[in-house]
Amino acid sequence: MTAPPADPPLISIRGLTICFGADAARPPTVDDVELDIRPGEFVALVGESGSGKSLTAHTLAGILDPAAKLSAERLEVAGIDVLADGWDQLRGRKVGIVFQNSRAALNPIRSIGRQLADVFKAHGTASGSAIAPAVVAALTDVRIPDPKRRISAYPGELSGGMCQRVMLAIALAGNPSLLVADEPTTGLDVTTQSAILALLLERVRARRMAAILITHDLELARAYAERIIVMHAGQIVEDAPAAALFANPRHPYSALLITATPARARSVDDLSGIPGKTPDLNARTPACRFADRCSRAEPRCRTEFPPLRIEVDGHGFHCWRPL
Amino acid sequence: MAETAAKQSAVTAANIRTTIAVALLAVFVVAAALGPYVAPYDPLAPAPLEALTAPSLSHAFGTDAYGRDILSRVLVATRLDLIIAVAAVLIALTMGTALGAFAGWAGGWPDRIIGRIIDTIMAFPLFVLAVGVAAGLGNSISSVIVATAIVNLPFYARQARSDVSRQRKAAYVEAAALAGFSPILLVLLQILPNIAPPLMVQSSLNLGWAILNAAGLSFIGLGVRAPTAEWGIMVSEGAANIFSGEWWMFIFPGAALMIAILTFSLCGDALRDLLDPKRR
Amino acid sequence: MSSLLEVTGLRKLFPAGHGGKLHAVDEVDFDLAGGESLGVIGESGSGKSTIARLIARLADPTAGRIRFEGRDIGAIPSRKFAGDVARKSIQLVFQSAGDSLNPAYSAARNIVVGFGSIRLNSESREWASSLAGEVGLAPELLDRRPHQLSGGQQARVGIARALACEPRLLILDEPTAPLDVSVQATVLKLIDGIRRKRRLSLMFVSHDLDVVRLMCDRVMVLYLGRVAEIGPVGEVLSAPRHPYTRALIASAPGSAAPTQLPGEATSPIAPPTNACLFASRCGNAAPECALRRPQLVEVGPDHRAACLRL
Repeated sequence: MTAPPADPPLISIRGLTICFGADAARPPTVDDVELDIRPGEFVALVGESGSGKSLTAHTLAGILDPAAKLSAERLEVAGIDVLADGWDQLRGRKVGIVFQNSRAALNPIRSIGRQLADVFKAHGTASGSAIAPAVVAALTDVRIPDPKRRISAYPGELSGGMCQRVMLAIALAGNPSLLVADEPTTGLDVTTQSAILALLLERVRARRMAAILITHDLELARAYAERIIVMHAGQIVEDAPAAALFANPRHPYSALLITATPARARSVDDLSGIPGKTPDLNARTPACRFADRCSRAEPRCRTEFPPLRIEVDGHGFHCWRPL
Repeated sequence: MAETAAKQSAVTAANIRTTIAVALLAVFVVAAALGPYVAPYDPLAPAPLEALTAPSLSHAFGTDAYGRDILSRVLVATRLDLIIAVAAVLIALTMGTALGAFAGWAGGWPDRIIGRIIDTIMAFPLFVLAVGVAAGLGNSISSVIVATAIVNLPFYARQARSDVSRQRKAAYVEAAALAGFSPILLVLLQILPNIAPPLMVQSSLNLGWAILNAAGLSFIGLGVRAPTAEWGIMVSEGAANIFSGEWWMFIFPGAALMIAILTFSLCGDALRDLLDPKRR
Repeated sequence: MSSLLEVTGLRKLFPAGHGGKLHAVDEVDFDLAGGESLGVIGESGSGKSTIARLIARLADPTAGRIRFEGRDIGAIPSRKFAGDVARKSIQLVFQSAGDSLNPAYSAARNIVVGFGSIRLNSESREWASSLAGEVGLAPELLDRRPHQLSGGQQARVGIARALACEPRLLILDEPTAPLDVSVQATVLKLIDGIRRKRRLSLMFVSHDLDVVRLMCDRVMVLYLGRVAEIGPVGEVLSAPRHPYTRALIASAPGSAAPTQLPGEATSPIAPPTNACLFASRCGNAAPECALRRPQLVEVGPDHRAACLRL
């Protein structure tokens, strides 16, 4: 989980906490997240609704909701100390982001060619007469057929899959070192999904970028990411290489999540749900927020959040009674 | 912090407003119910010797040209004005909603025809319509009620039409259809509870307007006739005496009108807050 | 054994711009036996949701026959079907459970809707409670309004209401799509348990192959309104014969040989009647695929596929 000494982490976060609302007694939505990501690493952030995965990823991209109150001990992204220097250097330049609903993220009254050109100009990655060929090259990179003709197309004329490709091109236009993809294929057909993700993987590898894929789909995470971070109710519970997580989940929640996935089950009886539901955040929330749903919980789980334990191969987890 | 403080004072202001609205409404309802019994004088009995006396201890609101006690007349008129307003609004609400719901549900030609009817109604100014109705039904309180009802009907029809037409495709309506609900029951039992709030709020506000409509019609001589006590007709009688200095003849019925309209307006606001989906 | 449901030549066309017609469902045939569970798989534009609505009689077919328990129910216009004797025997569980519940009514009253009324007397309350128990809805939630319930709880209320009608055929239109994985697992197990206990026939519409694999006996694969393949679920998923089915299976994240479908789907508006609609994206296409529309042919016991190149 921590980088080998020779390779300084692209992203280093310690003690990230995000709160909403004025009530100081209410437990934070994202609770004390600690995370290192190396350059070129492909990480999946997996969790159900309320897990805090989107908030964490949005923080990295510098687009956290202004109503959120963020505090951290360390927040370094791509060489920028965000706590000291602020977010401006980060947005679009070092970190590109691809959203779930691409059509909503694109300007409906501006052609995709112009939107791409805008990004090149804003980040200075191309200028003047170099812009037009750069736009065509960008569209070719994301496999949009007939790019020269398509630069004058509007988002409304394109299918969901095409819009997603355009958004990827825009995200990459600033030459970022990190790509954040927030459920980029949720809602798309399965055949389109696999095409988009394969494209994303290929582009990220070609530019040696790091990538964070946010998803609720464990199978997807396993197919594309080298490393999977599992979050529950705003807390990181496990952080392991993908194969290791599936072969040997250490946190009870990860194990249950795996057996809840239809792809893994041989029959309906193999499927298991998870008792309870994501806890409400109030004074009674236990320190480990999975404690009330966990069959292995002990009194310590409610009063003290387990510290990180890292085992062989960088398999990390937060649990007092791991599996 | 600042926004919660602002919200809190808005809530308090709303609570004060609701209290005032309810209190005033209670006053009017009591006056309507008990007016004839507590009025100090017979509102219809002339007393020529006491005509045109200014407000005094024996006549709190003064007397009119026939010597009738204005306080008694204002009190007793409350019942008539409220009845006219309530009747008119009830008719407008039920008929308008029914027409609009039918148009919204059926679509196609029924929708177009009803739409044109509503447009036609909206084209008529109240007074012109009222004269027409009076010509047809005779010059009575019923014509006032009917004319006021017709003129206020379009709002309900349009609101109901638009809401029903949108809700018709809602999944919960389809689910009820799956369970065997017929179209009429779907509209009445499934859709209506969901579209009622704006209609109810509007009825409350409408009551104020309906009173004004009725008063206006009486002012020009339609509907209510002398010697009946009704605020509008009293203002009309008082208007004739403005320049001769008997200010009390129109001020008191006018004030009653104004406060009544204000009351219903405040009640409408209170009702809207009460029915606000965020609080349900 | 005669089938519970026999669908022949089902078509549904919608008017599209400039006088053209959108072929949402285009000559679909299939059967469903009593107690059987049929999965309906397809991507967006495949017509799967339209078929669900047609069978549930929420919409009228443009052509074709829908025979339920021996009667042609497709011929009865949907607005008149509410009074038909078969109305309650066919029920639908909606994709968005929250939207399928009346927001003005409590969960209990929403369940009572399934009995054809909205009155909550002691008798209907008791029935509602027993149904709530059957779907695993905690009794204290019965008085809550839909917006006060979680997605999983709303799904349970929707299922309870459908069961209140005592259906013989239950159509489920992606009932777990909007739910978290763990909630989905619980709801799927619930549906399976109900199906077995009540010996229901199911039509399970989904875009998720794994869910269909777990929940269904047979599966029908749709592409642009036409049946590409239909057969026992184990057969179709392990030995798919239609190139589209193969592509679908290969696109799933866990698949061994991930492939991608080139190009985009043909437009469903005024599609060519005498051609295979999948040809433009098919790795195995031949010139004849643009000249003839493939019909379903037997490729195994009870297993059929519509491809000219089998």
